[in-house]
Amino acid sequence: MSNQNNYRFQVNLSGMINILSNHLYSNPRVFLREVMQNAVDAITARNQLETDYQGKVHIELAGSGANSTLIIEDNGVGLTEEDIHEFLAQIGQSSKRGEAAFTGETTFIGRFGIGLLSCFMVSDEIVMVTRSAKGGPTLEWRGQPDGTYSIRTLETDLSAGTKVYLRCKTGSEMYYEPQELERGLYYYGALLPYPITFNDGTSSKVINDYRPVWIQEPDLARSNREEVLQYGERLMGEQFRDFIPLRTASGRTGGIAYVLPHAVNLNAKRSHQVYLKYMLVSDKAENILPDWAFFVKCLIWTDELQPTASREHFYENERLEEVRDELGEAIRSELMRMADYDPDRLQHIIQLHALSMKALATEDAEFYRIVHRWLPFETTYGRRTLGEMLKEHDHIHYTLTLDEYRQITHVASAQSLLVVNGGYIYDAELMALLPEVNAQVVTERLLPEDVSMSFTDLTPQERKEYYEKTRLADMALQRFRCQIQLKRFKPSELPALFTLSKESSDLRSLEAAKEVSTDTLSSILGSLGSTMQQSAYSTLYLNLDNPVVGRIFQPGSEEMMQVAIEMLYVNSLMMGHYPMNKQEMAVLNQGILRFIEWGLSAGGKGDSL
Amino acid sequence: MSTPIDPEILALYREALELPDSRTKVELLEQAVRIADHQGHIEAGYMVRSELVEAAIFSGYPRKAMIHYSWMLGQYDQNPQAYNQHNLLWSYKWIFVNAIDFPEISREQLQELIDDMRVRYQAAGYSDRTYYSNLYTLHLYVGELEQADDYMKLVLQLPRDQMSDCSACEQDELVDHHIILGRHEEALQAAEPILQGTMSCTTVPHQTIASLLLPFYHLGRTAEAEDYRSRNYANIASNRDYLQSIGAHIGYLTHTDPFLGLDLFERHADWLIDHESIWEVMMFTMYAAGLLRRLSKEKDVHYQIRLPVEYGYTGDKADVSTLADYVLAQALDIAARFDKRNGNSYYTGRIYQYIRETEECN
Repeated sequence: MSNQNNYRFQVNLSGMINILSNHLYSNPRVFLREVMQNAVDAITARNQLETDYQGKVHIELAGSGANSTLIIEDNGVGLTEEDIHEFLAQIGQSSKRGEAAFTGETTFIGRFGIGLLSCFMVSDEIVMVTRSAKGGPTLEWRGQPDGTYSIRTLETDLSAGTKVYLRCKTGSEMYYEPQELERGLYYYGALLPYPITFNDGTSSKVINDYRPVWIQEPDLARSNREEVLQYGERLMGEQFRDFIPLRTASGRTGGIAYVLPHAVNLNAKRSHQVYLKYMLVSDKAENILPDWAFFVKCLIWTDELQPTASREHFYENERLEEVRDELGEAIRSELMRMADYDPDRLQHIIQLHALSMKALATEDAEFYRIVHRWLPFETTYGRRTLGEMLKEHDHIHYTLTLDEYRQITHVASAQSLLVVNGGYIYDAELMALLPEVNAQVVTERLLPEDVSMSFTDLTPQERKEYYEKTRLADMALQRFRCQIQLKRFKPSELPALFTLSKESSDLRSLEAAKEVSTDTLSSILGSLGSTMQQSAYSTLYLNLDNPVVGRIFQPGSEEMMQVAIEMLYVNSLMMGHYPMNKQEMAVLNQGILRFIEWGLSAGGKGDSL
Repeated sequence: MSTPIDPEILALYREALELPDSRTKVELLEQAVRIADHQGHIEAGYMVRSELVEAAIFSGYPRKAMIHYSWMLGQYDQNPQAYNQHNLLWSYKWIFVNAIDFPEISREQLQELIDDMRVRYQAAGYSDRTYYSNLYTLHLYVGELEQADDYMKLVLQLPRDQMSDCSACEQDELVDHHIILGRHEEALQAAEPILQGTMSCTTVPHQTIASLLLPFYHLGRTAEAEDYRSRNYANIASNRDYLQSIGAHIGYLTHTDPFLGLDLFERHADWLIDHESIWEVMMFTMYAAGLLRRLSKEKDVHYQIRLPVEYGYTGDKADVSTLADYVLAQALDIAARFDKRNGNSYYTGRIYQYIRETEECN
């Protein structure tokens, strides 16, 4: 084609602003962050031209309510007319020079040339008066939300810098409230190393009046404990009682990890407050610490990470990975140090945040070795730390699942058998790993039927005496793939202990589902079930120490034997909340009727049981 | 029927929802289901099972998922107004894909499942795209690769609808497709948006990156593979759903760091004992066999392999080549079961081919 015409996409600016406000930025408040960002970048740029220069930002609120005007003034590098056309008129153009803007590292935070546009969320017109530090006239730029702008040269000669004027847009009055502004300015700029002043129309004050020494040198935080805690409360609105200073080897990332004063669950949002070049970029950064470190909420300052377009997270790149590992290491090594020098403090953290500690311990054997004594577990002796358990035991049993634990807990406690419930997240893994970090301990997974090891066997005499009856009882339950074992065990109030394999438990659910499902899926479940049969078995331990069981096995009870055993079986199912199939339900119903009948006829004879 | 739900059920349910996908989460929900069933509270049983099915799928318990999904579908058919149809039909896809992993489920049964799904999707107004996508998956995993290729092309021509997998998952399927067909370059090309981070979901990029390690190696791009490896491993190491992916790590380490590979094999061997997906077990075992054969060529190393008793290997723990034979036999055993079901010799062939290729590289 020889007749080629080139056209340009027309971008609807008001549409863009709508997209920005609704999707990219989490709320209109961020306009304040964006104008401050521009001021900070302008100051940084001027700093590179003149080394002995002191930056400052001044914010002034004029008028009130719907008549408010906000003026943001900086003494930074300012803009020439050429700069204006380049940076303010082209969306997507990196705001502040250099090809590295979109990719690698930049000296400037704002990177997308869209920052100023966010002001249209709260103002119908943006007026900017600027003069470049490189010379040239004072310029006035007026931008409209429809995408048009005008520039004119002003007669007056300002000193270098930029002033942005925003006039309150109807409906945006709340963003011009003095307290709201002051709070926002502090929020975004608390850590900036030069003064941010705010004049609310009556008086002027420095927003970031106090900048702690430990921002530069996080290790100094240790000797300024109260101050660090107060600062945390002021910035993050939570009362903390403990913290860990953070610092990477390069010193380019530092911070304070505040220990949360309450327990948190594993899925809780991790939201850290992160400052890039001392300007807040995110208060919900999630990916800056390792996953296990969910027991802290951090203030982090860095000059080496790249925020994503929304400025609320960081790009997952190698740099971030290194920083994350180093910050994780800072927390980990502090915890390890505590184990030696301040064990009470560590114990306190573990008590509140056992889950977080366990998460790290599963990944990190060295850490596990150091802290294992303090980690709490649920046991048949109640909640116990490993240290407490190890004082009296060098052989610890644990179950793999909650259900297995539930099956045996009652009996195991009665036998004074120490069993750890490994069903909770990380616990079985930690139990399995324990001998690797403490050579004095043996841990062993306990299957429900293993509890019977501590049961008292029948004497040879008793065995002979009960042989036939035991056979009879066993036959009664054969059709349920359940076998009978006659033993003596504590507590004697318990007539029977029912244990079943994981497969057996699954097979029960499968059979229950098969009864209600569609033809297609029932047939599939049938196939699945066929391969589970061989490993699906259960055992009913009958307790000869229990008076009722004792009577069942007395001579003369043959007639009731089968029904009694069946009833003990279905009763165990009910106690364990196991789903019953049709056959078992039928056994239950018939059994109840039989017993009523017996009861009535016995009652009729005046002979009570 | 809206009797209030037992507080104990609700407590277990809430506790479970606070956990990431894991054995504990599955178990808490199972316990809640048991109480609901015991009380005959069908609505509660359904509510808890919708979470249970999802948690089971993403924690590596496909059999439990199938069992409880079957119950839900049965209840839904009896009382369709009471439940959310979209969610139920969405989960059906997981059930189908996972059913292929059980050799005891016949081809006819799988076909019935696909047909049943199609009828339900059509009745709900969804397109046939998912139907063809299921046929694609079926052919790919039973080793009918040409048909799979054809269905893949067909699926990509059809417009996506609400029942289509998320775009990250679809891209991952495409990557996998190329890898299975040995098209490494294409696989890496297709994986670009996933590696860049512009496409992601629950399982992507984790499973994608694991599958790409060997292709990276074969293309001589080990440095890139190394960039991803350890972080990827950290992301999948504690979830049984990723057994095959951990196998893929072992496959890669066989060439680059076999003793680290051995460490991974030992660490995850206990998953093999009772993993519900025998297909995942087979794939992991195949990679492990390749690794152990490679290790058996090392001279002057006194091995003392750590394996759980229940794993069933009774031979000498110092004799890696006997162990390698044992492990390979395990993989081939499972492969034979799949081949019988599938009516071909695809998996047996694939295992032998993998072992051969691994040895040619060394």
